Amino acid sequence: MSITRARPAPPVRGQTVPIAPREFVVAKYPDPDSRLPSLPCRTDTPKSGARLLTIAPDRRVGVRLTGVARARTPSSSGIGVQYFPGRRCASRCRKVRSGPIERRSAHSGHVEHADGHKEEDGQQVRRERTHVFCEAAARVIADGLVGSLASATERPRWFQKDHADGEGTGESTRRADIGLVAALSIGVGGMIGAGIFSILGVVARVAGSAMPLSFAIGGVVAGLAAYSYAALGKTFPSVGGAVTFVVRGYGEGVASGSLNLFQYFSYPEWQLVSCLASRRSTFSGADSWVEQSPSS
Amino acid sequence: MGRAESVIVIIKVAILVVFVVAAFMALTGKGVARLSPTSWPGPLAIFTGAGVIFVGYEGFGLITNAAANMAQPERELPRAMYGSVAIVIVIYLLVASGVVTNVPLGVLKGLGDSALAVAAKPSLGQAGFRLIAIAALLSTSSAVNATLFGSTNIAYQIAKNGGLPPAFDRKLWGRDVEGLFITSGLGLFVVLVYHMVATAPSSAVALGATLAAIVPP
Repeated sequence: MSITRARPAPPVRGQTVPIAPREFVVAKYPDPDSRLPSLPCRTDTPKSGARLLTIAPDRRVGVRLTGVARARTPSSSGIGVQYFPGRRCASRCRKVRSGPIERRSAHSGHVEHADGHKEEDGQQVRRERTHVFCEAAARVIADGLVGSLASATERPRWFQKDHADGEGTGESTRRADIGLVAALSIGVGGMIGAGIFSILGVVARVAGSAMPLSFAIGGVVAGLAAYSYAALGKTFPSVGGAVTFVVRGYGEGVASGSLNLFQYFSYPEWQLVSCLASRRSTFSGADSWVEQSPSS
Repeated sequence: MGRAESVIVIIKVAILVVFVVAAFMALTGKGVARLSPTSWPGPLAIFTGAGVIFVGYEGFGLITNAAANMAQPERELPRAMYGSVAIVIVIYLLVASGVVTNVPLGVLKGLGDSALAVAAKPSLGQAGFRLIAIAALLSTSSAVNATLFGSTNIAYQIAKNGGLPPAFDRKLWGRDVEGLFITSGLGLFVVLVYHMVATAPSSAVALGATLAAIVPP
C-alpha cells in the first residue's frame, strides 16, 4: 500500500512551474536573527543557523523555465529558470541557472558569499541575502526539475538528502537516528499502552463474546487512519506530525493554532491519567473471582 | 530514546505472547464454545465495542513525529506505520480471544479494568497475574515515553509556528529537550492533582524513571 505519485512531466521551455507550499532549507547564515520582511514567503530561523524558507500557499511564487539543456544524466543536465517571487518583490526577479556547476554555489557557496559581505553596509547585505534566498529557492526547484528532465524516476540523490536533512525540522544538523525498528517500537509502544489493560473489560461488557470481532473492526479502522497518516507523513516529514498536517491543510491561524494546542494538551495527560487509572485497578482487589471459580 | 523504547516494547509484547500461548494451551472445549457466533450480541454492540477499542489503537500517529529523524521517511514511515498497526492487530486479536476463552462471560463483564490480569490466572496462576501487572507497568512507561516524544515534538513545532512560548523550542544540552521537561512537568502536575491520594508517589517514580530512560546522558 503506497501512494503512487505521477511521474513529473519533463519540463519544456517557457513552462511556468509553481513552487509548492513547502519548506526549504536554503542555506546556512552567520546571522540567523535578521528578518527578511519583503520576501513573499515566511522565513524561519532555526537554531543551527540554517534558514527555513516556507512558501505560503496563497502566494503566487514560481519559476519560469527560460532554457532547457537536455543531457543523458541528471547531473549533466541544466535548466535556466527565471524566478518570479510574486508581486511584492517583482523588482527582484532574477535569472538563475541550475546545473552541476551552480549546484555547489547554491548550497554551500552562498554561505561564503554572505560571509564575505558581513562587514559591508547593512542595507547592502540585506538585499544580497534576499537575492540569495530567492535564488536558492529557485535553484531547489530547478534542481528538482533536473531530475525529471532526464526522465529519472527519482530525484537526484543529493537533492533528496538536502531535503531529508532539513525539511520540516528546520535543522540540517538534526540526526537521522530513528530506524525502522525504533519507529515500529514507537508505534507498537504507543498503541499497546494503557488501552489494552484498561479498555479490555469495557469492550467485554459491550461486545461480550464477539470481542475479537470488535478488535478486528477497530483494527481495520485504525489501519485506514494509519494510511492517511502515512501518506501525509511521507509528504510532509516533520517533527510536528499531525500539527504540521493541520497547518498545511488550513494554514496558520487561530483555528489551526487552537486545534494544535488542543492536540498538545490532549496527548500526554490523557495517556498518563488513563494509565494510572488502569494500574490502580490492576493492582488492587482483582483476586476475588479466581477464589470463587478456580478453573474455567 | 530509540533503544530503551525498543527493549521495553519487546518485553511487554513478550509477556503478552506468553499470556496468549498459555491461554491457548489451557483451552477447553467449553472455552472454544464461548467464541461461537451464536452467543454474539447484535451488530450495534459489536460496532460499539469496536469504537471503544479504537482508543486502544490510537498511538500510531506518534510515528509521524519521528519522520524528521528518519533517514528515508518516504520509505520507512509507511512501513513502520502499517507494520506496527498489523503487529498490534494480531496481538490484540490473540489477546481478546485468549480472554474470552479463559473467562466466563458473566465474570468478564464484572471485571472492568482488571480483565486481562484476571484472565491470566486460570492458565498461569498467581505468576500470570503478576506478569500482566508487570506488562501493564512496562506498557505505561513505553506509552508515556512514546507520547512524551510525540508531544514534545508537537510542542516544538507549535512553538516554532508561534503558538507556544519560545521556551518550548529552546535548546538544552544541545538538543531540544527543554520542551520535554515542561511537557513532563505539566503531565506530572495534572496526574498528581487528578490522583491525589494513593497513586501519586508511584506515578512520580514512574515518570522519573521514564525521563531517565529518554533523556540522553
